[in-house]
Amino acid sequence: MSYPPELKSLIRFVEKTRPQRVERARRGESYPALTLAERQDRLTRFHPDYRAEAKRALSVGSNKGDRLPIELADLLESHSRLDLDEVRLDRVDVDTDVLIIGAGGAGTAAALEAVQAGASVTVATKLRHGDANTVMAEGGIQGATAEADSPCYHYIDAMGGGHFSNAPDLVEALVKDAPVAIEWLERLGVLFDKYPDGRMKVRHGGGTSRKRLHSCGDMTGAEIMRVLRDEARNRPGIRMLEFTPALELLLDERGQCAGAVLLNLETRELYIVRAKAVILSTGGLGRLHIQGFPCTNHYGATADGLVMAYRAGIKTCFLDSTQFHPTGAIYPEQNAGLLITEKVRGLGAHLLNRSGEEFLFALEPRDVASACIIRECSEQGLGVATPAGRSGVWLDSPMIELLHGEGTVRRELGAKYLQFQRFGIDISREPMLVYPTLHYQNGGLVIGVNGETSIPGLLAAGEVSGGVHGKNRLMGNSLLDIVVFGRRAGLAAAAYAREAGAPKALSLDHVRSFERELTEAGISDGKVGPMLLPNYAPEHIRARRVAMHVP
Amino acid sequence: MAFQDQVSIQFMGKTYRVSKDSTLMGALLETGWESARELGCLGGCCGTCAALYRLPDETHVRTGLACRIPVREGISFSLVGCYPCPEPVYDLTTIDDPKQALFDLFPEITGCHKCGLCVTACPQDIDVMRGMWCAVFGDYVSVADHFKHCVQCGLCARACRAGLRPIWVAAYARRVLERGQEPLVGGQEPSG
Ligand SMILES: Cc1cc2nc3c(=O)[nH]c(=O)nc-3n(C[C@H](O)[C@H](O)[C@H](O)COP(=O)(O)OP(=O)(O)OC[C@H]3O[C@@H](n4cnc5c(N)ncnc54)[C@H](O)[C@@H]3O)c2cc1C
Ligand code: SF4
Ligand code: SF4
Ligand code: FES
Repeated sequence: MSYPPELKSLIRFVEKTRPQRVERARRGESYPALTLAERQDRLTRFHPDYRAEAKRALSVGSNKGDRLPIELADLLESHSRLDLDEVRLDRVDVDTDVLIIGAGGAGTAAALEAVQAGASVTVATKLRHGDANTVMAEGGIQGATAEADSPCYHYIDAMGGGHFSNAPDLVEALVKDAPVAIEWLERLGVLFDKYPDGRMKVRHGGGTSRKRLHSCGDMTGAEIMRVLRDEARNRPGIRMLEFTPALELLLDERGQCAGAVLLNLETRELYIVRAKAVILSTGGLGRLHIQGFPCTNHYGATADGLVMAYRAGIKTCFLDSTQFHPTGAIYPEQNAGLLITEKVRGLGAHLLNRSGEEFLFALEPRDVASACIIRECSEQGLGVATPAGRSGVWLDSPMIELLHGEGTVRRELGAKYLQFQRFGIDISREPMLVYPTLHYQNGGLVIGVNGETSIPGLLAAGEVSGGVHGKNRLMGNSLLDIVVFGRRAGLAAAAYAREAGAPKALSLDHVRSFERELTEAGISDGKVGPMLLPNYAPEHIRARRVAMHVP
Repeated sequence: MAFQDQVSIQFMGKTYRVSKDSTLMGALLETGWESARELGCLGGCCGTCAALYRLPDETHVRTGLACRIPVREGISFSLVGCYPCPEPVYDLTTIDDPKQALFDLFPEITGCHKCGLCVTACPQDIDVMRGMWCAVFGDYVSVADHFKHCVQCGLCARACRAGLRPIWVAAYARRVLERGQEPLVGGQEPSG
């Protein structure tokens, strides 16, 4: 299943321009970066976020009037999965100090800190512990640990990446905690890439002015998740409920967050958890496939936390901007949507059109790079077509071997190498075909520096929250986000649980009043949320489905 | 979908027709199959989708990750699920002698009879057997290197007749290795 002849013949154009391009790269020359005005032009004309018809205004809730992607707006205005008159809240199944919903990197980091601070911790997660976006992160984690760097430069880069829309206090917390967060991971046993003398290897990512991307090969997230999960399993104070997603938050008589209703996916039982503090760390929304784009996310990235928190009245921010990663695989078809890490460009690989020519500076910010690729394949008509009818551009990975020596691709991009080798493509000799893919939820729930939300006792951390990255996240700042704010939320929740008295009456009244708002707004299409699992059954199967269990 | 764009596959004994450009997991989703158990990342990173499969022209059963194996006409497969392979509980901060602790935590490790079945089973091309022997001899640097791309799918443990738990040996060795070193700050790439 290597490249078919028609693509092989196009690869010759890439090979033809390669020697000169490598020469220029060796001299430190690169394709000129766009001016600010040009960037704006590319974004407004080609970035999917700027398509007005793909958004609609919310008619209910604390962000009423905001225009969001239609797929997300529909879900935020969905009905509860619970029969509110039937659920019995007086029978509590689990009593805990801190309840954490979602066990990816943020949730697990929070659990470790909360238990360390003396709280009893219960974690509820939808899939297996660690089956999350965290495990998929490849490229690396930022942190100003190198001599020539400082949190100050990191701050400016993160703000610039987010077009200065980020919440300044959150960015300050992010960059100041970063070196400590990296050390914390290291002490837990995360094996970062190092020089033989023991110093950390750090690299550039898109939008960084200093080298500060730390990585573990191209499995940085997997390594972090392996270690955090291992540590959590070794802590008897953490109770892990796998395959048990949350369906609704619970508030108490004081209007504070007091637990959640969980669903055991295997037995279909509901569990009532009463907690003194709750942390939402349910991750992102890639599986909503905004505008029909393929996505890089794991199976459970369905925006559940946003849906539950929105019903409780938490405000969201920046959800109108979704991050499209410029380089998602489009060939072979089995790899479509899979992420090709930015590290490939960081190591010097160029993006090339059908004629084998460069058309952008490879390390433009993600949104700009995505827009340029879409332009090349549409307006410019210089995209490369795949047999399955997709269109994309080349990512010239073999350059890396020429720039950094034979074997670099296998060493630095081992996981990616394997993923293509399975299909008979050797990415150290042949380029890859890429097109933007839905990647990251830039915005989310509004939080303070310790993850606190506007409801006492409810905290949020990780991809579900918003503000840290503003409108656009830089590579490596999200793994950092989950460690920094996961830890902060864990500590804050434990402290809150110590102070706050135990909740008395549990209530779903916030869901009732949200349902009333929906009715008043005339929304009664029967759509329910949270989504929990994406539905990939084709239309003809869905249309004939019935519920198996009649009470 | 046109007939020629489809292939026949067998999942747990039942035959389905699915699109030919799919993976085993993609094909399952296409049939309307639903589960929260045997799938996670859908991108070859999490190891949840361990599968056993047989190709029509072969007489042996192969192992792999269902989200990464392309479908083809006549392929027959099932999913393994979580293989019983309990993880020992330890507290890294109280381990004084990591080499001794390895044998305390994983007494079965010396039982490896070098059959190599774990190596054949691994979807990530890891030399699991060699990795286990590196652990026995206390060479944790090599263990760490061998298992860098381990997705913790458990297929090696399933293959092992001596009951070794390479997944957790690898996780343990990698973690104690880092703990043995003083934390270091980062450095710039040396110029030139
Ligand atoms: C392919 C890929 C590559 C990436 N590469 C990088 C990178 O190089 N550098 C970087 O900084 N960032 C990267 N990112 C982004 C980063 O990995 C994620 O943003 C981050 O890991 C999110 O962590 P999280 O803990 O917030 O969410 P997740 O890790 O997604 O965890 C959320 C968890 O919550 C669970 N959950 C969901 N709904 C519910 C519910 N209703 N009840 C209970 N549990 C629920 C999910 O099953 C999941 O386990 C990448 C992301 C992807 C997808
Ligand atoms: S070493 Fe074992 S657990 Fe790890 S990927 Fe290979 S078979 Fe799976
Ligand atoms: S399968 Fe078990 S016994 Fe055989 S080589 Fe691997 S570890 Fe040793
Ligand atoms: S679903 Fe994660 S490896 Fe296949």
